[in-house]
Amino acid sequence: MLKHIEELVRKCNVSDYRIVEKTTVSHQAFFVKQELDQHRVSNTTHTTLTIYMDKEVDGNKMRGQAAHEIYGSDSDEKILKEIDEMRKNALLALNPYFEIPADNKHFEEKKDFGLLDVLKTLVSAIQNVRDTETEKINSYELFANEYYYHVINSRGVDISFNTMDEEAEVIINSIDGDHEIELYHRVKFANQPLNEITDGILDVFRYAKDRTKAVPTKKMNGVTVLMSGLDNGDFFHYFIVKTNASMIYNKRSQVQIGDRCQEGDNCDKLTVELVRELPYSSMNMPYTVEGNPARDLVLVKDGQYMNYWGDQPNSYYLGIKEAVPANNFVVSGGTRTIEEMKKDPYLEIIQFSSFVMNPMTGDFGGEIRLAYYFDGKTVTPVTGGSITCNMQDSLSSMYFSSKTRQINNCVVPQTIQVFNVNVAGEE
Amino acid sequence: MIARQSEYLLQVKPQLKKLVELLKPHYDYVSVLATDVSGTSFRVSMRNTSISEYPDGERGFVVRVYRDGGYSEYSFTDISDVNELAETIRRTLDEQSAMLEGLGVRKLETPLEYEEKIIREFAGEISEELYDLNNDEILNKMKKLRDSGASYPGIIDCMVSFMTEINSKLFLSANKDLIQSWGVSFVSCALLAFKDGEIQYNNVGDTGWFGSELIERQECKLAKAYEDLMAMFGAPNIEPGEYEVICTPEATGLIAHEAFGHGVEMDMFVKERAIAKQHMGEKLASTITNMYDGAQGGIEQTASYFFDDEGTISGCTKILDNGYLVSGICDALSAARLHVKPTGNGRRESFERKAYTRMTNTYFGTQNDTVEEMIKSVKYGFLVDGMNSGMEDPKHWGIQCILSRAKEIKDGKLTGKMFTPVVLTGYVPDLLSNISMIGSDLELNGNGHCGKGYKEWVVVSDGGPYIKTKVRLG
Repeated sequence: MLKHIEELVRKCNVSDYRIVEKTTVSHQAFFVKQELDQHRVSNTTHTTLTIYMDKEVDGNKMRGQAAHEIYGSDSDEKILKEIDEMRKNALLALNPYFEIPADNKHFEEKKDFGLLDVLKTLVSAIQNVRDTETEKINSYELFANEYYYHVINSRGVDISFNTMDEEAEVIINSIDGDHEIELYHRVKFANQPLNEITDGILDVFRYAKDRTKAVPTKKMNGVTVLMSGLDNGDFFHYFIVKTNASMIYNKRSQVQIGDRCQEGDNCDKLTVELVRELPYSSMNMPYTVEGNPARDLVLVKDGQYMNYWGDQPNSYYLGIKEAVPANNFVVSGGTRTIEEMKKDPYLEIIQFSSFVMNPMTGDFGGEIRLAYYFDGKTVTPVTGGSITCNMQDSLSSMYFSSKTRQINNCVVPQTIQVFNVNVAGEE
Repeated sequence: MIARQSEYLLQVKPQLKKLVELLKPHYDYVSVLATDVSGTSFRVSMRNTSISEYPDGERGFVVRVYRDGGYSEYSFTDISDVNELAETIRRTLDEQSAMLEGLGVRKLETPLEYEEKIIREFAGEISEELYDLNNDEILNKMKKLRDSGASYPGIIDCMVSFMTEINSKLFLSANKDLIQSWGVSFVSCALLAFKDGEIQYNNVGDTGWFGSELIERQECKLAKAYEDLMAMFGAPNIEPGEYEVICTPEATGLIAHEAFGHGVEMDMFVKERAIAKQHMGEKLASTITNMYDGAQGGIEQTASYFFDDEGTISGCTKILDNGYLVSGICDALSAARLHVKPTGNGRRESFERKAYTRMTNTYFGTQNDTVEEMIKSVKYGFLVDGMNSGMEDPKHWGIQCILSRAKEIKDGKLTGKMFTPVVLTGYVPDLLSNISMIGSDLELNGNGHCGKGYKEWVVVSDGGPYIKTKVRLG
């Protein structure tokens, strides 16, 4: 299919082209309690053609692009008509010129990851999680996916590679007398040891038990908040967005290389690094679909912005020689142990109903699904209420735990210490 | 005009019929859903212009089969050899079945419901323009809107997006032969401003069964959007507490969707994940409150269709009737398990994903109050606006809505003071029971996608009139 489209596009008068063929095979199983709701298989191929058209406007070299999925059932005549339409669209949507990647070569045979066995292992692991007297699995969905990419372009790029990932979404109930609660647990990973998956579920069992005993969160002013949940990945993703070349070029992020994101010494200095490969990550793609290789890159070092990452056009506009994708990232641990963070009164948030991190404004927070409040004497599980903070306002007084944890494609501090937070809660 | 049926779907229909016939001897039930969704996405900002495919466009198939009390599905794109495909589907699903049985997995037994014989063709309204877009003219309209937005002081970018969608689906089974087509458009315009190291943004938008005239209709909304945007700079966080609150239609829609819509999705009843199951027939809202969800027969918006992704004819469900919870919404398999009638709410993110109970166009009904009367009635409270996000909690009827801003009201007047952002939380029956005034004008917006948990995104619309209630803000 890919080669045939290439033959056709070569006959058309385009400045450049790129063709991406993505084949996905997915084995899925859905359960209510431990009973099978339904099982599914998906086997699909999508082939997308992008064409580039160059034109000089007022002495400036401009480039437009247009992309379209080409279907296997389409006749040559239909495909050629589609390409002609794309040429016109590309010439209408002109932007400053950029080069596309050239000459990268990487070949992998299409690999069979044995998805039926992968799904079997996942099902078996969760079927073997024993309900306790008060905690039980309500329902779960399991996905085992493999992907094969083949990318070619008119500048000699010809790369193919395989990736796979697994996903589990598990709903857990806990009951205390007449009061039943649920907690949501979703993890994505690749080739992770099974005990890590089931240990994660057992952790949620423990939190679920505590949530049945939780009391409403009180309204509090100026409290120290410890964020210790899976949302810490989304929290630090703020810096990935802030350093994205598209955000910079389009002035949606004001970050300049050399700028400091933290002032003063009353904080742990932030270091964020992109890494090409992270064990067990579902995002270990050796190349981008544009044809650029993944590589390591330091984005923030000791509180100072060092580099931008991004796609090909926007990286080119910013004068970045090699466009780097942000597949995986690692945030360095801070100076404090979690025990040190817990010496004074705190509100430790384990799960938000839905954590929101607005990368444009820096606002973050949400409703508290489960937290622990330490008043200096006792620790009480609490639920409800909400916090609203802002990254710029709080980053220069923020501390990160020395202990880090991996959440799929990122490694981040286990706990983030934020000071002087107002909590909306029961009065 | 009336939408045309997809030529592609009509072309592959004989092959799909053959596929159903080939699979029939091996299963008690076989259906196939074929989708052909196309469209164009235009984007114009101060530094970028693009024309690309509609991001939710797709062409593919999903077969659903039933045997021995259980359902399974196979999604695919290649239909070139139907005989081989039928064999592959059978072999692959049998292997998966055998693997699961080998593990001793029990089935959630599901009765096979009688399927009524229906052969029907449905075609919705569509703007004629969607079949023959003048891309140059559309870009010019968008650039004009962008330039208007960018002309305000302090604006660093004005991003205009316009998308068209022509949605065609075909559903075949032993008793059903259904085909449908319709077309919608989506427009949004975001103003982005930077001041003293702070970035704020505000959106206007519209959706519906229209063409590019939607773009021009945004022009008159820009001045108000800009005024709100500039007031957000330096705006403090709200002092947490319970307040009298007036919701704009956008905020009302978010509440309808998050507070109650998710809680009455009946696949959550099957899983015992929704408290609403125990409260059917009870009074949960003030007597002036009515709420609806419907893909057909209610309000026509971006989530309108004639049959759902399981081949069930859609309708409009009244969920709250004068404050009483009278009905949930339901997909076909959950309906079979709960022994109720499906409501035509079985939807998929794409042909590659499972069908779940999903909302369509969800909204509160109208009454006769005016916004002015509502504001006048508030001693101290807020007018909340600007949807950011929301999260449901059907198990406990908790609610979390993040809104862009709250405008202070003191002694029946807006003070001009603004707070941002605003987290609206509370207990759903309290919020609904506290609804004391409802406006007369209904507005829905379908620019959003809704997830099931954190995945399975589908296009939905929601809205309602202005409402006044009492709720916790933080």
